[in-house]
Amino acid sequence: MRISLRETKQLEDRIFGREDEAEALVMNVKLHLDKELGDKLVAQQLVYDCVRAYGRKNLKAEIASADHKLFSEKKYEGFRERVRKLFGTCK
Amino acid sequence: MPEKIFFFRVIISRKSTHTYKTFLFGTMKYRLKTYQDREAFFLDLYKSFFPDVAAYVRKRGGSLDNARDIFQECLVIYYERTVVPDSPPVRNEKAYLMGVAKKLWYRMYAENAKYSGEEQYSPAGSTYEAPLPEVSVPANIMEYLEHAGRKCMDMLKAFYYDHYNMQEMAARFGFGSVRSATVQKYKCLEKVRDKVKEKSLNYEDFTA
Repeated sequence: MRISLRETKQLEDRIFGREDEAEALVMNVKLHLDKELGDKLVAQQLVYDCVRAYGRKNLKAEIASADHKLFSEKKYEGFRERVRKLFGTCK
Repeated sequence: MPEKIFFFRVIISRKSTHTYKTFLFGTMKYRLKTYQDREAFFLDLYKSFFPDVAAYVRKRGGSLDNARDIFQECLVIYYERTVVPDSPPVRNEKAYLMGVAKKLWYRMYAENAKYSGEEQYSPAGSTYEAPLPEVSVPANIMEYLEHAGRKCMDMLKAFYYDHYNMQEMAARFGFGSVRSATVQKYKCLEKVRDKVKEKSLNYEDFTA
């Protein structure tokens, strides 16, 4: 693995708390000496947030698709009838 | 040892056309690696438990749309828990989903005066998951990544959100080895990070 990718992995280990004592010490020194590395750490944390938001958005679309099937396709009429009885109506 | 053989027996669900679920040690285990698996998972949960959640919401004056919104959030929470390797099993899915739905109901609608006369449910005493923590990401960064970096975002999502292991990553994205998939995953992480860094700086400059 090339050096920059190794650095990306080390930043990941810091973010997810997977460093051992020696690795944490080395990273602290690096972060103290290299401001750009600190910026990378902040940006990489934001990437994980972006990935989670992206994952949720995609998952919600899949769930909405299943919901649409249940409330529109003929084969789920029995399910809709159960729900209709609860609310008095059903879309 | 007949007892041991009994305990390790895996029963494939015969009700579903998919083999996405198995019944093991008294709990349901799911394998949700494809769109079809997840669709079968969501449809089964809707059919089994949505009427219970809907009845709960209806009893408290909520609408069908309220019930659908709440149940969809419940499914996100349950999915995120289910795909984490070695997460503690949910022994009673109905109780779990109802617990989450109650919390969501009070978060989403309790402040509405219309429901103030209802019985008070205390989320603090519950053992169920809290509602989803909000993921706050600047909209300009998300939009940019969805369009310019979709391939990498799909790969990162598979690993960090859907919890594929590296062998599954290699198979899913067509890499010849786990090592190639691992290197590519870090390349993607680096590429997306640099884009995020660049976009964040532009955003700060713009809003300063």
